[in-house]
Amino acid sequence: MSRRKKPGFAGTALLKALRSGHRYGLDLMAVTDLPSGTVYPQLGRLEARGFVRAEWESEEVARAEARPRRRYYEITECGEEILQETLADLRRLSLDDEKPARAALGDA
Amino acid sequence: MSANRPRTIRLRTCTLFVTAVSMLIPSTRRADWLAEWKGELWQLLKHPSNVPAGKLPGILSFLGGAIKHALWERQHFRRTRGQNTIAPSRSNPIQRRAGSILASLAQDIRYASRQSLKRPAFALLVCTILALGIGANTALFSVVYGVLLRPLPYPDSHELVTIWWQNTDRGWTHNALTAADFRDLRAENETFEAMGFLTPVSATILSGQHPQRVAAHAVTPEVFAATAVPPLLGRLFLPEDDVPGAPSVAILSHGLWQRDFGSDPDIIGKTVRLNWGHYEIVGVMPAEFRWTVWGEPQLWFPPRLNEQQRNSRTNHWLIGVGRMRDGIELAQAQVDLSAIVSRLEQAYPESNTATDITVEKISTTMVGDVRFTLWLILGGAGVILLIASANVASLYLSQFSARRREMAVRASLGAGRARLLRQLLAESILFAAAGGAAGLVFAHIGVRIFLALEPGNLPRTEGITTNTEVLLFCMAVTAASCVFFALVPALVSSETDLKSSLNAAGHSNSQRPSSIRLKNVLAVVQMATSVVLLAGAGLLMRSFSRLQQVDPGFEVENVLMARVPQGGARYQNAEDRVRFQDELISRIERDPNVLAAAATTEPPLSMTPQILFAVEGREPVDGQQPVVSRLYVSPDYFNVLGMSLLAGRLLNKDDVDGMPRVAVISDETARRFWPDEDPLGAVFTLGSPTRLEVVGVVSDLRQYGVRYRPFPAAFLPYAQAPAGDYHVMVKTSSVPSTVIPTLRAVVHDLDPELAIYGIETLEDRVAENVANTKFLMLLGTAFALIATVLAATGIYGVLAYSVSQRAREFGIRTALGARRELVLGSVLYQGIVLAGIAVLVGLPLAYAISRTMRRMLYEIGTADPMTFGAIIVLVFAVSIVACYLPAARAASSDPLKALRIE
Repeated sequence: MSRRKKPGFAGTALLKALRSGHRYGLDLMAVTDLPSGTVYPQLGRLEARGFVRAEWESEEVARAEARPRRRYYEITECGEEILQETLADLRRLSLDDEKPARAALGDA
Repeated sequence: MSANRPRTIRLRTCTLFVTAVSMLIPSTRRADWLAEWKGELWQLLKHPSNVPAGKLPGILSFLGGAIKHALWERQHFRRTRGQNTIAPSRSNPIQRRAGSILASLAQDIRYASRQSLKRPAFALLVCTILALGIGANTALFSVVYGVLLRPLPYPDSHELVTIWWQNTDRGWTHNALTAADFRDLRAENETFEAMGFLTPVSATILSGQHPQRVAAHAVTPEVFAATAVPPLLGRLFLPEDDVPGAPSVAILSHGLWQRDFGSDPDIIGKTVRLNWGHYEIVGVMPAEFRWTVWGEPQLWFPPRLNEQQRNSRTNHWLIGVGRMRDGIELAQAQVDLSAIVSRLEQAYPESNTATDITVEKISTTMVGDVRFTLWLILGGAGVILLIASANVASLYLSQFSARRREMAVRASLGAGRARLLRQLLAESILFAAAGGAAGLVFAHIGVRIFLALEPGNLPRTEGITTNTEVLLFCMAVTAASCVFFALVPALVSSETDLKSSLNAAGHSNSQRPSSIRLKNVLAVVQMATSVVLLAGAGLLMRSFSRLQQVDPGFEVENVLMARVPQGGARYQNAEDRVRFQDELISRIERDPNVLAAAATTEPPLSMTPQILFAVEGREPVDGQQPVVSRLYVSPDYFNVLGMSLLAGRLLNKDDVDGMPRVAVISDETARRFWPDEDPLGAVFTLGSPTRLEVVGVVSDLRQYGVRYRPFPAAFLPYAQAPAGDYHVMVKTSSVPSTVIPTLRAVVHDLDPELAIYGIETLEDRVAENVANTKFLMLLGTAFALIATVLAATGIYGVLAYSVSQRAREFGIRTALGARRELVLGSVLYQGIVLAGIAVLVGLPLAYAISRTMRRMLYEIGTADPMTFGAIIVLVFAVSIVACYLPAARAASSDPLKALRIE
């Protein structure tokens, strides 16, 4: 097992959601069911650790849809690794009967 | 468009808010942050259907998130900047670490409160048990603090002492001093700054409508000087107040000044009629000056001793009060005074033999012998807390095992072991704090109940409150119990690697030996300590029932008692006194409810003087002269108390001055001094050279207290009694209180300036005499009851848990054909083993502790086989009841269901 610090409960949920294609804050909130006060700082934390990369949407797309620019997040390779590790650990716990965990991890 | 307008307004408001919040963020990051949040807000408010958080509460919570994010961003910025600079001024690593620990502690506590709300029954149980333990301790500590530890209201009160005479031959440590000895002590000592004496006197105030009797002390000016408390009004006594012939002056207590003089601010210089003389009031003491050495006087005046009193070395009636010089210790003062006393012993061998001196702190004198009792009670409460903590620890261990899964998940998500431990501690701190707060409320109520039940033997109760010291104590006790019930199980659990529980995924029912062992130990601790409390309560209960069965030697029912003051100068000569008293008694007897009335100097259950006793023509056996109690009684005394005549005759109306001096003795006196001969007609002396002839022998009585064996007594005719207050005792045919009006009216008719006081029934006096034992017994029983119930739930908890853990085993056994009784028996056996160990551990402990209680017990050995036997039976019975439920559950478990769990 790696010695890197693992992302924690909310972090794992967010990484999982990012991997399945959800890309910006509000969307991630909806899919993970986590509050805004958790999602945004957590994204910042994941970014600072290098598990997540953020970039601004291009000006043209935003203008075309007549809305402000979005900040999109994306899982990095490093993030992918840590997510696999964490999920493997969880699987060893045979989480089938851990309903709250499944819900929070967005097992979609 | 119109439907969109409110949305636009909302968007603007929210944008404004977010812009304001962005001010928290360092400028380099602000633009990016604001742009992201503006985008998110637009998304949220323009397309609410996409987002469940589109409603107002959702929006508010969303905006709350913005603040949190901004704060995080700010902190994150500082942290990273701190890493990049060489010498960060404020955020050094330790501070940062401390900050993050605090932050995570706050998070842990929030999490813990959410978690405990999910398990309300568990939380409530834990808090109630803790509140009971903490409450009992805090309540009793506030009593101990208020009575024993609270400083006295005198400056440097540790320097104040009381001084008593000792008679080493008789083992008397607190005898009064004589005036001449006191004078020498004061003149020759080198350790005292001031030394004076006091003596209790009876005082009747005649200024009001009715004469009123108050407690008073005659005190020398040095006593007030020693206390160093200035008067509220007027002045203290001066040396010139205390010379024979000086004008009569008095100082009032604050209470008397308020109650009887209407807090008159111009009271100084006014006169009060007191004891049939006129006294000028020169001072009023402040309210906080509470003087409880020998009663609580309301009034003081100087003693103004006459020549004869001043030079006596045989009349012991003064209590010394002194202030030691700066830096002088009690032992030094003791040595100093003892040296003077031994010099006096050589100088006056006639009067001063076998003497020494007792010097004790004034706090000791004021508190008296409740000190030991109070500490013992507090100790009992401490034991309750120990049991409560062990109980909670046990509950915790079960919770721990149930939550191992949750812990494993959190560990796999990246929480370190230290973090998990902190999380568990946060929860305990939360419970302890709630328990402590509830305990404080319990304590506040508990103190009121305690004081209401307490039989009035406790001094200084007016100062018992929930003050800072008590709050600190409560917090300390809470913290201590928290460490015990939370840290112990947490550490034991962290012994086992959490990873091993990860590997053992799925096998949540596997037992861990260390946790099971600890639970067994906790159950035994609870049971064993409750054995100690049960022993204490049992011994007190047996003592009390013995005391109830004691025959005090007199009939208790329907006897009313009252004190009549001596009546001043008008009754100085004995004839006048006897005439007054005969008249009083015959008038009382006219009441149809009165069967008999009598007067005595010493009513039952009072401190009766013991006088040197000598049989004529006989030398003391071992050189030490014996003493007997001396009571002056009127003829009907024996009838009122229902004492029986064993030989000779009782006293009668003809035994007056001028007739031959006679006495009636008690059976004990006859047995002790005339073991093989007839005492009738024998002659003895009692203190003075006067020869007294024994004319009768009566049955024994317990004059000093129900618990004290009858002491030899001699009854002398009342007509020969010295002047002084005396007691009237009335035997009634119905409820004694019905004759109170008669009593008052008769006394008032005879002398309107006499105030009778101290009216009580003999029954009350006897009840009061055993009230202390009764109170301790009730308290001890309550403690033992709580302890036993807690310990029983402890054993129940262990077995219930063990049964749930062994469900599979029982299932397999039953499936293989084990009989129901066998399963039942195996669980019961487990409980009985635990109870057996608890008894083995608890009994020697109980024996050791009950030895310290010896003087509270009455005719019960500290190893009373009946008490201890009953405890063993009780502990096993309670354990079996506690085991039965889990055992029955195990026995009736469905094998298929149990096997299906895996």
